[in-house]
Amino acid sequence: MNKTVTANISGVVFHIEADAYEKLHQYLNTIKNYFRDSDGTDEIMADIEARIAELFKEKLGLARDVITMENVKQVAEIMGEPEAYMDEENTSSYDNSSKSFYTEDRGPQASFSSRKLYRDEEDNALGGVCSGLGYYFGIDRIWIRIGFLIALFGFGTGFFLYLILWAIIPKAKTTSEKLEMKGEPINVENIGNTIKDEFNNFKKKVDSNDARQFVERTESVAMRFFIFLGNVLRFLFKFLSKILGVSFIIAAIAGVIALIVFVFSGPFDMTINNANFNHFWTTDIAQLYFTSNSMFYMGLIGVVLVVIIPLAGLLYVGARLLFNVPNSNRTINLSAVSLLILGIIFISISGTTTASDYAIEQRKTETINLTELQGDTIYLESIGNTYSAYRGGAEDVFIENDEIFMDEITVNVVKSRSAGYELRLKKSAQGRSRKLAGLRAENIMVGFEVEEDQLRISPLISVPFKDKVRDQGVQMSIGIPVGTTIYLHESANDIIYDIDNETNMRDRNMIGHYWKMTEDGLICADCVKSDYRKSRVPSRLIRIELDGLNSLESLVGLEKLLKLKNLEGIEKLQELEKMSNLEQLIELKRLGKILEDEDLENLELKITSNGSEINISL
Amino acid sequence: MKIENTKAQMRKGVLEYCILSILESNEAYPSEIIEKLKEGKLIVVEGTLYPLLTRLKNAGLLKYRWEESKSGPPRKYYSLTEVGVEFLKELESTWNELMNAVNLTRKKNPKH
Repeated sequence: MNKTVTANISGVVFHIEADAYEKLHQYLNTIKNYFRDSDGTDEIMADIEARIAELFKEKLGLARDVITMENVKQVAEIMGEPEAYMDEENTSSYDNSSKSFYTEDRGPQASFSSRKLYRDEEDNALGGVCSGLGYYFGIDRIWIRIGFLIALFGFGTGFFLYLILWAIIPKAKTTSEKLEMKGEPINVENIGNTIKDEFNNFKKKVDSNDARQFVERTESVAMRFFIFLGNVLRFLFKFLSKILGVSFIIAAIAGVIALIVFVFSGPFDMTINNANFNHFWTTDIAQLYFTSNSMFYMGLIGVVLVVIIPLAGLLYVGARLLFNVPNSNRTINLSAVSLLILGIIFISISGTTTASDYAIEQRKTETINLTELQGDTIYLESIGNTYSAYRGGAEDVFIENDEIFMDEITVNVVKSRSAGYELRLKKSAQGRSRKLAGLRAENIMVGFEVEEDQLRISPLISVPFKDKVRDQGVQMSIGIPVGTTIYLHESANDIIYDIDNETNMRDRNMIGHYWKMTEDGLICADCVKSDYRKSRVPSRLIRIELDGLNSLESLVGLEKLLKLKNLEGIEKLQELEKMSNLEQLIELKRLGKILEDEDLENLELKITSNGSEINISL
Repeated sequence: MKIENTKAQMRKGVLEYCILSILESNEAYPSEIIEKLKEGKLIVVEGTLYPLLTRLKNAGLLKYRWEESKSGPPRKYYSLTEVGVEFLKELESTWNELMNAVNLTRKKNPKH
């Protein structure tokens, strides 16, 4: 059962099946599009419609009064596809994609009678490839079909070869193309013959019903096989393209959702006024990183365009594979490409403008004398308090009262250049000019408190909001005079970074110990052997050259050394630990020179005195 | 140089000449013209003819009158205008000249 609609074609009323109507409508639209640019379009269309009405009248006669799909197809064949007019009408724009199939030119005249490779869709089993090849090589197509059939069983090469040829060889559409395919010289007589053939072929198609056509066409087993294969292939193609279409659409939709999430959240975690503004683009955030809000929005729009247009393309291709979506039109394609280019331009402008504000780095140094700090031993702490929550998070920055806070500070302990305690600051920032970068560096504030023998340092630096986030950072060095000691409180773990010390101990192991400044650097004042072991840093092993045996004796006592030498195992270890507790060793080291490091397990004290050596080893 | 262009141009000129020739003796409506052109093996699809007729009419070479038809919509009967007659004469002499020229050239180069 089929639904019919009533159509008025050139003033004559027809009943037409719904799908046939669709087809006819589409056909007329294609023609109309084709004549869009020539004058008298309406008149041409009216003429064509009138002729179509006439043809329908002739076809229908009295027996039937509903126009079927078959009728529409026949009429379309008589009137011809616009592509065929193109060859007749338009002499300039028809770019023949079959250029590569031109046979070699055998002189200028020869090309008239030389053959071209086309697919013959009048004498086809599948796509007319074999038939076209047959004409091209001048042999009966049945041999080529047999050849493909044999190749089919050679790992399916025939199958793929056929598909490729089907795709790349153009169909012979116009009379001249059909003649070129057959290699007959193009003259009026031959054109006439071809048209006659075509007409007969057409008549045959019209006269015979489908079943008869099928019987006629399937004269051999091979052909029947090919028709079966063709149906399987068609089905397979359709099936695959539907699956592909569905996955394209799913991918495109997923992409769009991801884009929306990206636009409406954002990559930063932020804390503003102690409230967590997680996952929100705000103008504040934009201002932190971009030179201006407009640059931020430009970049964001650019990103959206660059992402969404390929996604739209994917969606469209998917839809085309799934449904019968009409060809995309030129205007839409062109605007899509221009939007894409616009997006790229936006990103470039926003990117380069923003990047230029990071171009130049400047450093400023500053020394603060800590005159209020008292005592030979000072205690270093980090100001944890309100920011401790912040410290736990992954945030890079947060904003409070027009100031931007960042954890971009590192603290080292060095020898003081003056007699007292001091803080040496190395501030750095970036900007588009030396001046601006320098200004931003100077604007960096560090926070610290001094209370008797306590030094508390904030783990955060702050910069004015207007300075934005421009890779600001501070390297702080606490200078302590030789002979004084610094105690690293547990909280200092947040801020200390790579403190140089004579035992090469790591930062986290230095925490909770007293460190004494010597001429050569920091020495742990209260570490035991297990601390060194914990640090897994090779402990210092010492080969000392002394001026004379006397100085050695006066330092450690020869007796002690000899005793050590005679002891064994655990006793020697204890004795050595006593000895290396380690004021004495420090002194030893000052007198001599460290020649080599060795593993703690092979602790060796090697002292040479005027060529004579005393080896103490564990 | 594309052979398609050359051929299309040749065919186009000849086609116009033939249409005018068909209409020389008496008026005709498109289907009749199509029949004749098909007899003369000049066109493949009918759609080609309508734009051509419109163009010739717009150029003032053809005119038409309407006539009712029993089998469908009213038909346009085309005939030559005076300009069209002149034009056809011109084309006729040009065609003859061309035929001569082609024949002469071909005789001089017998191997082609």
